[in-house]
Parts: sequence; structure tokens; C-alpha cells
Amino acid sequence: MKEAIKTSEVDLAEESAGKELNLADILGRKLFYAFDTVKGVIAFTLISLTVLIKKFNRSKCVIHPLIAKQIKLCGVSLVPIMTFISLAIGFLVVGQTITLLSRFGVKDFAGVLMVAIVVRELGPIAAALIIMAKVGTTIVVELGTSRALGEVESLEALGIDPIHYFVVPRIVGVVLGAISLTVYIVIFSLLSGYLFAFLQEVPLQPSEYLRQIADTLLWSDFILVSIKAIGFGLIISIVCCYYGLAKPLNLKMISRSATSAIIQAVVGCVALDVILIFINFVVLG
Amino acid sequence: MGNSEKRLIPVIELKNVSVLSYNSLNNIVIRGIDWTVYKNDFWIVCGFGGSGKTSLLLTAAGIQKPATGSVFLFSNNITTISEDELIELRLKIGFVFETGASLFHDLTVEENITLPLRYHIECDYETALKKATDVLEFTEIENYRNALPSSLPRHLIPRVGFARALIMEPEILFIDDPMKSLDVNQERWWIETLIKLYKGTNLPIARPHTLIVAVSDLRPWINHLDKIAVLSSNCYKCFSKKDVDAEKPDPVLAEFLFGANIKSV
Repeated sequence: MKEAIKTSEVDLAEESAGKELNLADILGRKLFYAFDTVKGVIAFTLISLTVLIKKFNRSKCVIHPLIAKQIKLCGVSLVPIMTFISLAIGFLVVGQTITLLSRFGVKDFAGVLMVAIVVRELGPIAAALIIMAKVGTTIVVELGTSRALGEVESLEALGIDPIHYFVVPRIVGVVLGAISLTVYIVIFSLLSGYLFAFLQEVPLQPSEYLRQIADTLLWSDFILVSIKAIGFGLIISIVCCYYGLAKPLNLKMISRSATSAIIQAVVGCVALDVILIFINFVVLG
Repeated sequence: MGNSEKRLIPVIELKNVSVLSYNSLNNIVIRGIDWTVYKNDFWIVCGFGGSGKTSLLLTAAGIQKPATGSVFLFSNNITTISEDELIELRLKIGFVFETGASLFHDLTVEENITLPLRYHIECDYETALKKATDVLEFTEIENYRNALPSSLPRHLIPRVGFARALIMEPEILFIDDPMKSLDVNQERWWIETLIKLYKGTNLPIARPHTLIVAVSDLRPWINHLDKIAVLSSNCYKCFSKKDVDAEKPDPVLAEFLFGANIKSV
């Protein structure tokens, strides 16, 4: 793992310190750093997934409590904030949309719009952003501190694979958290949105509203949302673990690593979203 | 400190090894080391701060790869064996990091000590605790079993690392500068405990057959020295008890035995 540090941003920053760089130098370095990070993250992903598959059932009495702790952190503890965000999405997006559709006499399209906006797009990305903000930063800080305090070397000395101990529980926890919170945010947004519309006295029966949504939902939507939730969970957990474990060498670097991790996780999630939209609408029609 | 059961079975061999710095993997701290550790040896590795003691110990324990040369653990070349085989070998080796650092900061003393046992043997927490009790008593930290490392008195932190290394019943035990910045009482505790552990009489725990201890001052050990490796100015020299008892010891050894000779200020 230490080899990954050699070409890190820190080295580049140190190299450039005290030298005046022209635009081409800066762009070249940025490009080199971006390429190097992508290479590092891909290698880290492959190693982590191999360990996850190979050692999933090994050392259960140590690893399973760690997974439970991560599920609590990424799932249960995020329910209050997710409820707030769901209510906000419901009131601001769903309720207003239904009200406007009713005003223009096209309330039959409510289900189509809800599935397109909330189920396919807003739900998964909102869940991912909340997990990123709360759990992603925690992962970078926890792992960065552990690395800076020499806990990685300590695990290696004890014959414990640091990826198995530190990364596997976080991947499992964040992925399961992303799936359950996406489902929660979608259902709660749709219900709270209808509640808002009901309070506005929109002439749309609950049964009619649910029927429209059920008619619009396809099996491919469930697959798409599942892929998004799993993909976002994997991207957030792996990028944050990479920045926490493979990058910082001392406590001073942790805050910078946390910022970089979140930015790259956002870029990764948006890129995956775009790819999936492209596949869903352009390739599959 | 001689041991009558000594047989010349090499357990660690370093052949023309260049050791990489623990802090910066781009730098070589010591070059051309040929070092053989036999079963039942008690080595003291001595060097000032920054001389490469930690890096040498990590390399000899198979935790860090050498820049060049070969490291053999129990006759297995660590650069050619698989990762799984290396982990198997590491379980026979205990390593206590400098000043006991590298404890898991979010686990209690008890959890820290039982972690390797629970991970490798997959026993439940209660079974691991029974075994930990002997180790906690031997290292005299049983009153702190539920404390977090951050709330421990500083002098007890190395003992937790020591207990964690002992619980897996290692055959070889590396201890990196356990007495750094400790008072005379604590120095005495470490020397007496390590000698008791090496001699192995009436021990409540399993005895590692080989001990390698890094120190930065040889003076507290002067009556207990058997085999000494001295790291000074990027060079490495081995000495025996005979060299310590010599009328005029080697100047490199003398510096550590009698302290720095301050000529003028």
C-alpha cells in the first residue's frame, strides 16, 4: 500500500514548491495527478473486491461486528436526516409538481413524472450525497487517523489484512446503507409529496396517484435504481477508503484528503449516473 | 544469559540486505547487512535515534521488504513466497512497536490484546478473555483492561503492545525500543520481565524462544548482554559478550557502553 503514496499529490505539491510553474506545467501536473489517482483507485478497487470475495466469511467474530457498526453508521443513524430530506423533496418537488399538473389539467402525468424525477434520479443521488457528506468524511478521517498512528503497520505485524479489517466492513456497510436509504427516501418523498398536494386540496385520489406510479414503474426501473444505489455505495466507500488509507501519512494531511475524497466521489457518482442514463435511454431505448 | 538448550537452528537470515527507511520508502538507511539469528538467541540491537533500528527490525520480521538482498524467515525467502504463506510465518512472530504505539485507538486494552486471537483463531470474546487474563497479569496491566489507549498512563502503553504480541504465543519476539523515555523503575521492569521471559521459568504464558530487543542505550543492559548488533553511522556491527567484557572494547561498542565522551563545550 505504501507504494501508492510515492506519486501522490503531496509529492507533486512538494516538487512544485518554490518553483514558478507556467500554465502547461500546472495542467500537465494536474493531468498526471488525475491519471495517477484513477489508476490508484482502480487498483485499490480490484484489491478490495478480491479481498471482499475471498475473505467474506473469514474471521466472522471480528469482521461481522465491524460490518454491523458500519450498517448502523450508514443506515440507522442517517434516518433522521433522510426523513428531513425526504420531506423537503416531497414538499418542494413532488407536491409542487402535482399541484402544477392539476392546475393545467394534466394530473394524469403525475405518476410518470414522479417515477422519472424521484425514483430514477433524485432518490438515489440524494441518498448518495447524504452518505457522502456524513459517512464519507468520517471514513477518511477515521482511516487517515489510523494510518497516521501506525495502525496499518500494526495490523500487518499481527498477520491481519488491513483491507479486510478496515475496508471490507465499510464497503458492505455503505452499499447496504445506500440501498436501504434510497428505498426509504423514494417512498417517503412520494408519500410526503402527496401529503403536500392533499393539503393544497389537489383533486387527486391517493389510489389514483399510486396507480399512476405503479403503471409507470417498469422492472427496468428497479434494476436501474438497484445498480445506482450499489454503484454509488461502492464509489463512495472505495474512494473514501482509498483517500483515508492509501494517502495520508500524517494527521496534517487528513483534512485535505477528506476534501479530495468527497470531490472525487461526487464526480464518480455523477459520471456513473450519466453513463446509466445513457445506457437506459439511448442504448436500451 | 546463556541458555543450555541452544542449538544452531537459524530462524532469521539476512543476506546482503539493504534496509529501506520505515518513514520514507525511497531512502536506504543501512546497506549490506548479513545477519543470522538462531533459535534461542537474545539479541540487543542498539543504535541512536534515526539509525534505522525500527527499519531493521521491520525488515527482519518480514513486515517490510528489503531494497536489495534476501530475508529468510524459518528458511523461507520472504520475497518469493506468497502473501498467504507470509501471513502464516508472521503468526510465529510477535512485534512490539516503539513506545507501544500502533494500538487501535478505538479499542479498549482488552479488545486490543484479544484482537489477533479473535481474528486468527475465530474464538468468541469470552474464550479470548480467559487467555488474555494470563497475559494481562504477566504484563501487570490487568487493572487497565477496560481503558482506552488514550487514557492509559504513558509508561503502560508499551506494555499493551507487549501483551498483544504475547497472546499469539510467538516463537520470535521483536521489541522496538520499549524503554524509550521511561524512568529507572520502568527500565528495571522491562529488563527483569524480558529476562524472565527469555529464561522461561515459572511463566504463566508461552515463552518465545528468540528475543530481539532494540534499544538506544546499552548501559542498563550491561550485565545481561549476550549478542549485540550496533547500528552507527549507517554501518552495522555485531558483538558478543566477550567483546563487552574485553579490556578495550571496540570504539563503536564503547560509545554505547560508556556513553558519549564529551570533549569540550
